[in-house]
Amino acid sequence: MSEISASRAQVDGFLCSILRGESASWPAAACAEFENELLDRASHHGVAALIYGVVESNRGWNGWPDRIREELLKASRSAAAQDMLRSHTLEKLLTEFDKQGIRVLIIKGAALAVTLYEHSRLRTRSDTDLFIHFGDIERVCSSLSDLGLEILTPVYKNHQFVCAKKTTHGSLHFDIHWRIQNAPQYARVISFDEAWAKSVPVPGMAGAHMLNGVDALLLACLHLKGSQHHDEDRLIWLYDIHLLASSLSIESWNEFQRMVVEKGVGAACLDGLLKSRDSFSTEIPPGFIAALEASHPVQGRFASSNLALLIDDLRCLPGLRSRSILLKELFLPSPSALMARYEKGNRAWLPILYIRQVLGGVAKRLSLH
Amino acid sequence: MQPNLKVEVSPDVLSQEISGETVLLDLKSEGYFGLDKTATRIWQLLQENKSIEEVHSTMASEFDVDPEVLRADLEHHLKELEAAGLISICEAK
Repeated sequence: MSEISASRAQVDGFLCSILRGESASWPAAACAEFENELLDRASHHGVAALIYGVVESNRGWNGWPDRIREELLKASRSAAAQDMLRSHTLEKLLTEFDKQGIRVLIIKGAALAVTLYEHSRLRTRSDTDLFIHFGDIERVCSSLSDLGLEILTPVYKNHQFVCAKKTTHGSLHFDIHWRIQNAPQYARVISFDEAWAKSVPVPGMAGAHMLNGVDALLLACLHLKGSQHHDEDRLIWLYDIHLLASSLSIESWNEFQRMVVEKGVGAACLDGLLKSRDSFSTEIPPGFIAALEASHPVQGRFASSNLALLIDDLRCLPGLRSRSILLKELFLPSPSALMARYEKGNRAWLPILYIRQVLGGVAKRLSLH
Repeated sequence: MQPNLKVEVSPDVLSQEISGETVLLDLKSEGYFGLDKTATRIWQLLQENKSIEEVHSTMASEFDVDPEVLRADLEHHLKELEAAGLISICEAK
């Protein structure tokens, strides 16, 4: 028998077959290269703890090298510790927001971890995503500071900001979104008020809210498409889509179809669902694919342009102060940020860099995407 | 260690079990600790508010081990947990 080539596709295929619940028997001809590749890919895809959990619960370790099992167990221990610390910090945050009367939705991995996965540690994540109303940004920033979290990024220009709590083992990151998605073409697909009206309680977290299943599936699909830096085939995101799609009733599928067609994001959602089907045999109701294939993106220059979004941001944000901060973040960043961005060490460059920044910023706002 | 001593698990400690092992998180120090299968069983019994004598008695019935060796190991383990701030040892009421 020839040795199995440790190509990424083969390792990814093996990981998918385990998550599909098929036999997890270790390939008889697997070589050391395959073992190393499996650990690398499981980590890259964010599924190391999940793979351990699935194989362990199926008692499927037959033939697995001890080293691989031990490494996956290590990943699971680390995921468990992170999960406990994240949940505890999140609860403190939510309690503070509740005291201040601030509405917040837990979105993405942190919400899916406690609803779709057998245990929240199985859904590893590098941060916790929260969705807030744009009218609450200043109060949220103030509450975060009171709780000792440091805001690490500009608050307005990317429609989200990152804050962190330092711990003895590094920093815990929270992504605070005031638009559902950063990408301009998807930023206004679901407003906070719309999502809040349909939100559901988070199991085990008193008073906490999350997106309903239909909105969560829509966001999971857009998340795959929405960022230039993301790996669209990352298995943990595709598995989220698989679990979300598998949890929908026929009525919810109909609602999902109606919503994505109406919002002009059928193609993006179909892409995510088909990738999930390819990887995990996700069942998609008959007729759904044809309906989405026949749908069209929202047309028109202002439907998804950066300029339209900027105008809408300025219209939505409360008060002159937040609007002026947005414009400053976009066009007039601090000298140090500007010099770092353009990799210039000499302050003599600053006038030229500011001119370049303003012209570049204007050009970007006027572009379609 | 006196048999009537009782152990109180710190309210600042969270735990999760994985495959019979336990990961502990001390919220005060933000330190992580791992317990193997035997230590996990001790931890479970401590969480049930058992006295040290009761923990010893249960462990002796479940594991094939010399009672005196078990007592010494148990004491050593409890002192480690106490030093890490995960439990406190006090007189039974």
